[in-house]
Amino acid sequence: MGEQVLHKITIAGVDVTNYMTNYTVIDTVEDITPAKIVFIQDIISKIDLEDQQEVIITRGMTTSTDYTIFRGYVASVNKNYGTSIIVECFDKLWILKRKIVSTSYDKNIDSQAGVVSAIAQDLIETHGGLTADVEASGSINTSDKVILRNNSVYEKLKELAKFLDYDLYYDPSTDKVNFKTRGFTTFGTTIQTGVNLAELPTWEYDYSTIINDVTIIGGLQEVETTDTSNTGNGVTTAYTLDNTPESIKVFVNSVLKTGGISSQTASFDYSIDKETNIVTFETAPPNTQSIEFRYSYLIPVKVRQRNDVSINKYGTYAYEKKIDTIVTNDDAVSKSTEIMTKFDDPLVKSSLRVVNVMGMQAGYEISVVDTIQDENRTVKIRRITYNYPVSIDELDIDDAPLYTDYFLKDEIVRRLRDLEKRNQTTNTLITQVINKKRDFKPRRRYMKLQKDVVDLANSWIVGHPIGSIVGTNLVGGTYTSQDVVQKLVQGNMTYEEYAYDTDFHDSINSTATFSTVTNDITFTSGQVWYSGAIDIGTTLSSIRVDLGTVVGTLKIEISSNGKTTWQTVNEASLIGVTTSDGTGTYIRITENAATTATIDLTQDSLGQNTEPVIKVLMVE
Amino acid sequence: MANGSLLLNKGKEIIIDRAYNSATTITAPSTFKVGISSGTPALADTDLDIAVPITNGTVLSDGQDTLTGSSGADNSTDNTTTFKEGAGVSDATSQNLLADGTGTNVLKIWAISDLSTNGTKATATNPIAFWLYIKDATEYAKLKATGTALEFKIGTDSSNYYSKTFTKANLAAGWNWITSGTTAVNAMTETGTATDADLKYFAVEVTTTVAGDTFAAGELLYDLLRQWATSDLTKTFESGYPTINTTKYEVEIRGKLTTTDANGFPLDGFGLENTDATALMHSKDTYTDESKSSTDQFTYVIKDRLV
Repeated sequence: MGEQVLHKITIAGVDVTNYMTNYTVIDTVEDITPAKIVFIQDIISKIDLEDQQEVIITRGMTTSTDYTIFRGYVASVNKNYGTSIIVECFDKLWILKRKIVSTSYDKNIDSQAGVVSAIAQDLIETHGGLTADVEASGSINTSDKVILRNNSVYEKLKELAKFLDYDLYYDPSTDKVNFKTRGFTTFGTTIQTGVNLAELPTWEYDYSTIINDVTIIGGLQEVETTDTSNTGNGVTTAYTLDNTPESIKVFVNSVLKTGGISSQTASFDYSIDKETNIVTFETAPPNTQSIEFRYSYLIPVKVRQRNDVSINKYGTYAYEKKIDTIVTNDDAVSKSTEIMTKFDDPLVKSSLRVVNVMGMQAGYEISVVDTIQDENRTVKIRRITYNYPVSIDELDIDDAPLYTDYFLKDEIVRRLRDLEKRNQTTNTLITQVINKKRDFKPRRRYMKLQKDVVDLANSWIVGHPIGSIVGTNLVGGTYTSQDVVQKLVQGNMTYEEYAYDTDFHDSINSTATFSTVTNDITFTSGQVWYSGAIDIGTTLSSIRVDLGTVVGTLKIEISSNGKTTWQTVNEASLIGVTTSDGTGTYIRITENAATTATIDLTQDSLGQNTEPVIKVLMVE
Repeated sequence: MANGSLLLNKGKEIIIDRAYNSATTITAPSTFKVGISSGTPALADTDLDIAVPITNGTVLSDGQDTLTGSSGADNSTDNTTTFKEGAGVSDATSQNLLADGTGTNVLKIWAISDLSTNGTKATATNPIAFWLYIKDATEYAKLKATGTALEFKIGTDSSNYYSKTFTKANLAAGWNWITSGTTAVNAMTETGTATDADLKYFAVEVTTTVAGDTFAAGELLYDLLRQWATSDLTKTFESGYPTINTTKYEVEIRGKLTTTDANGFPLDGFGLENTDATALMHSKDTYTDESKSSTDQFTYVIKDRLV
C-alpha cells in the first residue's frame, strides 16, 4: 500500500494538473457521470474556463495517463471567495440528455429497417454527435415505428435499451457511447484485506431478498383422457373425475349425453361442478350400463424446490413464480435451481475503500476477499467514486443477480398474478425437488521451513562442488542432521486449533489439559495453556484471537517476540501488536477466576465443527 | 510483500475434480517449486512470481571468463571475494565490471564474444539468467534514472542477438537475478537475425547517468550465466509423502532441497504443482526470504486439511 498515484487533468487540451487541489468523479452504471474539480485561483491565468470545454481526467501508477476515469464537458464554473474555482462537469452522456429531437424511424422507409440497435446508433451519432459502440440486436427484435417528438435523445435511448434488455453507458477510456447486452465485465485484480483495502468493510445483509422455497408454475398444457372406470347402478347420480375437465363428452351405454348447467339449461342429461370435479346426472345411469367420460384437462408444469441449508440458516422464505413460457419439467427444474442458487443467501452490500488499484469501472464484477471477517465474494460495482488528493476509491458493491424480476412487489403485478391464478388448474400434480447444498472447505493449514546447516567437514556428499573433495571431506563422519524451523506461516495467516493433534501444543510449559480425544482445553484454577510458535518470520502489526465455546473466565495473552514480552488482548478484537520481531508468535491462555474453565470446539446441531477451539488472525 | 499461505483456485479445481469425477484426468500435486521476489499470494495465481531452477541446468559461463570492455567500459577482472554459488559450480569467482570514466560514453559494454571458447553456447529454446551485483546505494545511483539502465544480449554477434532490457527501478543494491523469466532465448526481442544454433555472443550493457561514472573492483559484478529446462524448476515430494490422516482429514507433504539444490537464491516462495501437460499450481506460500547455500538443506513441511 502507499504507492504514489499519478494524475492528469486537461481542459480544452490544456494541462491544468498543477492548478488542481482536489477532484471527485462518481461513476455509476447507466447514469451520467459527474465530476467536481477544485482549482486554485491561478488557473485563470492558464485558461479561460467556459462551459462546454472538454475535460479529461486520467491517472495511473506508471504514468499519469494509464487510465481515463472521466471525459466530459464543463457544466458550471463557480468562483469561490477569490480562493478557489470549482468546476462541475458531466460525461458525454449529458450531451444526449440535452439534445431534444423530433424525428421518426419507419421500418419500411428508413435505412435502419426497424432494427433497434441501428436506430440507437443513429440517435447517438447523427443526433448526439458522439461515437457509438452498439451490439447488433438482429432482425427479430425490431420496431415498426420509433418516434421522437421533442424528446430527449437520452430518454429515448434508455427506452430502447429497456426494450432489448441492453445497457446504455459512456466509456471514457474509448470515448464511445455503448449500447450493449446487459452483463458484467470481470475485473482481474482481487480486492483483499491487507493488500489493497484501506479499511475493513462493513457487510450488510438484506434478508428480505432470500428465496429458499420456490414453486415454479409453468405454462398449461391440455391433455385428453378417457375414464371408463364407472358403471351405472340405477341409483348413483354423482361421479367424481380425477381431474378438472376443460371440455368433456359423456357416454352412457355408448350413447352420447347432453351436458348443461343446472337451473339454466332447459334440457340436459348431466352437469359439471369444476370446483369439485363432479359430474352429476339428472337421472342415474341404469344398472350395469357403462359410463364413459372423455375429457381434456390442463396440466401445468409445477415444480417446487427447497433449499434446506438456507431454510435451516434463515428460516423459510417461500415464493411462487408463474412463467408461461416454461412448458417442460426440466426447464422448470432448471429455473427453480437458478432461483435457489441466486437467492439462497441474503443480498450482501458493502462500501469498500480501495487503494492503488487502477482500471475499475462501475458495472465491473470483482472478487473481494476479507480474510479478517471471513468474506470471499464476487460482487458488482454499482458505484465508484474516484478521489484526489486522497487516492482511495470508494466502491458501493453488492451481489444482486443481473435480473431481479423475481421481486414482484408492485400492486399492478400482484393483480396480474391474481388473474393468472384464476386460470390456474387446481390439479395437485407437482414435482418436488429437494436441494441439498453443502460447503466443504479445503484449507492450507500451515507451511513450515526447516533448515539444516550441514557440516561439510564431517560429510561426504556425492556431486557436491565442495562437499566431495578427497582429503577435505569425510566419509563416515559424525555429523548429525538438525532441522531448525526457520519459517512458519499459517494458511491465510490464520492459526486454527481444532485440538486434533499436538502440533502447536506446548506440553512442557502448559499446565492446562489439552485433549486430542475430546478436542478441548480444560483448566482448573489458575492453570495455563501455552501454544508452540504459531508463526515464525513474520513481523505482525495486529492480531485477533477468537476462542471456540468457552465456559469460565480466561485471560488471553500473545507474544510476538519469541516470548520475551507478553501482551494481554481482548477476545474477538483486532488489536495492534506492541512488539513483533519475527522470532516467533505465541499464545498464552490462563484461567482467571479461581475456578475451572474449558474451551471447546463450536459445533452445529449435526455435530459439524463451525469454529475451532482457538482461532488467531495475524496481520503483517 | 505480505506473507501468505494459500490454497489457490487451481488447487480447489484439482481437489473437487478428483473427489467427484470418476473419470478424472487431472493429476494430484506431486512436485514443488521455489522462488524469489515473491509478492503477496492471490487466489487466482497460477505460478510463483519468479521460479528459480532447483537443479543445476546448464552453466554457460561460471564467472571465471573475462568480459571484454568497450564503449565506456574496460575489460573485467576476477573477484574472488564476492561471488555467487549455485548450479554446481565451485569457481568462487565473479567478474568485476570495470569502467574508468574516460571518454564520452554513458553506455558501458562488457561482452564475451565466443562462449564456445570461454564457456558454453546458449540453447535457443531455454530461458537464461545471470547474477549482477551492485555494491551499494552510491553505485546504484550511477544508473540511468529513466529508460533502459541495463540490457543483456545473447546472440551470434554484436549485430545479431536477442536481448532484454531493465530499468533502474527493476534493479536494487545487492545481488540481482537478471533473468528472461519463463521466456526462451529465441522468444526475447531480436535485433538482426541471430543464428539459434550459434548463440555464442553474450553482453552486459549498463547505461550510467554521466559518461564520467566509474565502476571500480567490487562495485559492479557479474557472475554465473546459466540456463535451465522446465524440468529443472520442479522437484518431486520427499519419498513417503504425502501422508494422509483419514481421522483428522489432513495431508502432510514434504519437499526437500538438498545441499546441491537451488543454491545462491534468497528463497521466499514455495508452490505445489501437479503434472498435467499444463501444470496446475495447487497452492502458494510466501515468507520472508531465507538464503539457500551449499551447506544448507531445506525441508518444507506442508499440511492441508478439510474442515
